[in-house]
Amino acid sequence: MNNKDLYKSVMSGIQPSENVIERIMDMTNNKKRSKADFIKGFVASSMAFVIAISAYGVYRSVTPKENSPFHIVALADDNTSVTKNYPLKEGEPVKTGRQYRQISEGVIECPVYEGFCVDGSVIKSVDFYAYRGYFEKTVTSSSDTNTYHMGYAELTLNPEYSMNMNHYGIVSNYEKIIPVVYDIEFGDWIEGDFTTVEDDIIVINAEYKNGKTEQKLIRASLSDDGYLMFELINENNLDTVFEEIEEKSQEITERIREYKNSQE
Amino acid sequence: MNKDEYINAVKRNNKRIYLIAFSYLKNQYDAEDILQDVFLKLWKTDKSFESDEHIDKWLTINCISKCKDFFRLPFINRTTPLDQAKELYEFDSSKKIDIFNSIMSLPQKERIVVHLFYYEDMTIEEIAKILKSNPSTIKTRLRRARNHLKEKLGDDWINEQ
Repeated sequence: MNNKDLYKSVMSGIQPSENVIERIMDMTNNKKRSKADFIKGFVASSMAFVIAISAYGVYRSVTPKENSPFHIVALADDNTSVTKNYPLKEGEPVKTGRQYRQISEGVIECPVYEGFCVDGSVIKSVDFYAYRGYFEKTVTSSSDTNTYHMGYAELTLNPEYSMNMNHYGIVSNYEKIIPVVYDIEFGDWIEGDFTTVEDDIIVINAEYKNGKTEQKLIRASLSDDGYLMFELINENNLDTVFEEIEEKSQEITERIREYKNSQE
Repeated sequence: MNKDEYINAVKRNNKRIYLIAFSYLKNQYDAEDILQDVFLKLWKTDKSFESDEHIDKWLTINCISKCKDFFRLPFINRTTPLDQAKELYEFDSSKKIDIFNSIMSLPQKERIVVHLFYYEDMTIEEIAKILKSNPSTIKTRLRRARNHLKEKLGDDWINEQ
């Protein structure tokens, strides 16, 4: 047997799992969404989530959307992984994905990465929720100080429910959602408050991990590869944009207040 | 591309594309992700293909491209223990296990060249083109990989130098 035949015979036993092939076949049943829909959906869901988180206070109140297939991608960091099991609601459809495996009914195994909690604590649990057609997640840390808990993850949905590369950190007793963006130029993760000023523009009060702080404008866009990308925007028109930000912030604050009042 | 064409392309290429991704990434889940991404891109593309061969080549190129992109992601854990890869599959002889382990222990740049050469039956020039590299570089990588394999496998690997 020559080396080519030998190599081929060794590799012949290696193949993708059946459920992955099945999922790939299923893609033909998904409607194709335009980039505009995608961005609009992302911003709408983000906004809605801000309000939901703020209004409920306890994010566990967010109800999973029925039958929302999703595919989760872990946010990894070199040499900092730990693996834990997370319970999901019974019947909640979980599809295996990178680093995430369904190990029994309603339970997925997924890695969580230490070092992502701002207060230095280890991430303890990750809860996943589908919300208004989009998939959301919450992360809590093992810290019991109940102060500033953050964690991050990336979510990738089935194309039908597409929302890729969305970084969230949730603060448990906090009234805002904090996105995390990797700043290629800066070479580090930026984290901070954010609000949307246009359909696809986000502004964040960035706090770099090295302590540097500044305001950043970020445009969300969909890459050809289907990933939601965040792009830092040239800040020539800051004044105009910040007026819009202020207006939008007030509007969001007002809506949160109204929602809270209606719940009391 | 209509549904039938897509399904045929999946049936024809899923294992092949998976193996390229696996050879590159050495991780089942990452390779399956790449596989899905590549076929999702195929399904979404408006590109018109001239033939099945054209589709197959397009899939190969896109798979390689996505594997390269994958390694550029800042949050990717670039180290996968060999144990994780070899425990996933069953082999019918210890010789095959040894060969698989030896292949998987090659540096990533050599591993993908070996796979394209031995499994995809590509020429040095074709590999260089698809990896956007020089033929001489590919030749060097292949030679090094062969040396490594010969060193590790002894008589199980035929000397091709």
